[in-house]
Amino acid sequence: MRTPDAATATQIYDLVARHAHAFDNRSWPAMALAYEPDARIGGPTGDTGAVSDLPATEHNGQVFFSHHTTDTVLHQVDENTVRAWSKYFVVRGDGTAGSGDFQDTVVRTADGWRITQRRGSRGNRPDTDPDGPSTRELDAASWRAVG
Amino acid sequence: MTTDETVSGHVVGHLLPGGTPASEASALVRMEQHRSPQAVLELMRLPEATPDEAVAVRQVLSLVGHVIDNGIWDELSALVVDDVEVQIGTMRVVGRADVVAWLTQWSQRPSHHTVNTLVRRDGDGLVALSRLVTIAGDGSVASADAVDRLAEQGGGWRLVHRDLQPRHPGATSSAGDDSDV
Repeated sequence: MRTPDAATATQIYDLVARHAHAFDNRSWPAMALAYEPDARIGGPTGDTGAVSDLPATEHNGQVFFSHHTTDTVLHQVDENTVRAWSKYFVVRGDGTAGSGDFQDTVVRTADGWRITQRRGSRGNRPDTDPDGPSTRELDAASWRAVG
Repeated sequence: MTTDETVSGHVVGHLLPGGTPASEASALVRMEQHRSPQAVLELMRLPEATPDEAVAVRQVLSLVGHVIDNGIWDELSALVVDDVEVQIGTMRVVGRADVVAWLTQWSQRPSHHTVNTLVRRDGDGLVALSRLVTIAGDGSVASADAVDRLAEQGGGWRLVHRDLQPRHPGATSSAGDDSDV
């Protein structure tokens, strides 16, 4: 693991925190302050879509839970690329919570650091989870790997 | 979820007295969240604070949580101004003494966790956008958008205005700005 300098880390902690505020409030222009225009999202095995497609979720009746990221760790790949691994948890309308992981590829741009790829993995959850069961899949190897 | 009257202000919503009754909780798993798209955009577009300022603000916000959870109210004067304003949904409390009185009306308060804080400069002051997560003694969790405005006073940053909007607010909430952005 190669840890970025403190100034870079501070900027990326701020960046990672932006998703919850922008996405949960459906503030789509604010998503551009967190993601590159061509950023991709997906699960442990690969990309499943584009961040730019997320506004469509506002109109398909899908209800998301509020997101919170914690415990972000950083691995500097090169001068302009960092891999970030965060825990996340959601809070549901009934006062229950669920946990998972995000792994992001973060790149330096003229406007500051931006996420260019985010992959998420829900934690170990039982059959009774509102979205069904899941098993933790991301790990340290996937954190250090770009792409 | 508990039905204990002593924590009636801390069930779903936690921050709003008279929030969603616990008996309705299971039906509200997919309760839609509050939205303030325009307000969030405007805050996120403000210039970033310096690292020193961001650390100072995070210290204040975290300490406020410790003060509330531990009831160490004499620490509060170093963190918030005398005439601090706290807006919780549609409810407003003004003045440090009244805020303490409001907080101490329950024998059991949830614990406060401040995460995902963005610190931005707004004029002569600083503004922080955070998530305030509360966990009650019965294990229930609630989350709110917190917008905190701070001013420099007496050599440090102090909380001037706190606006809390529960993410799953129930019927007593404001509707948000609903802006088409």
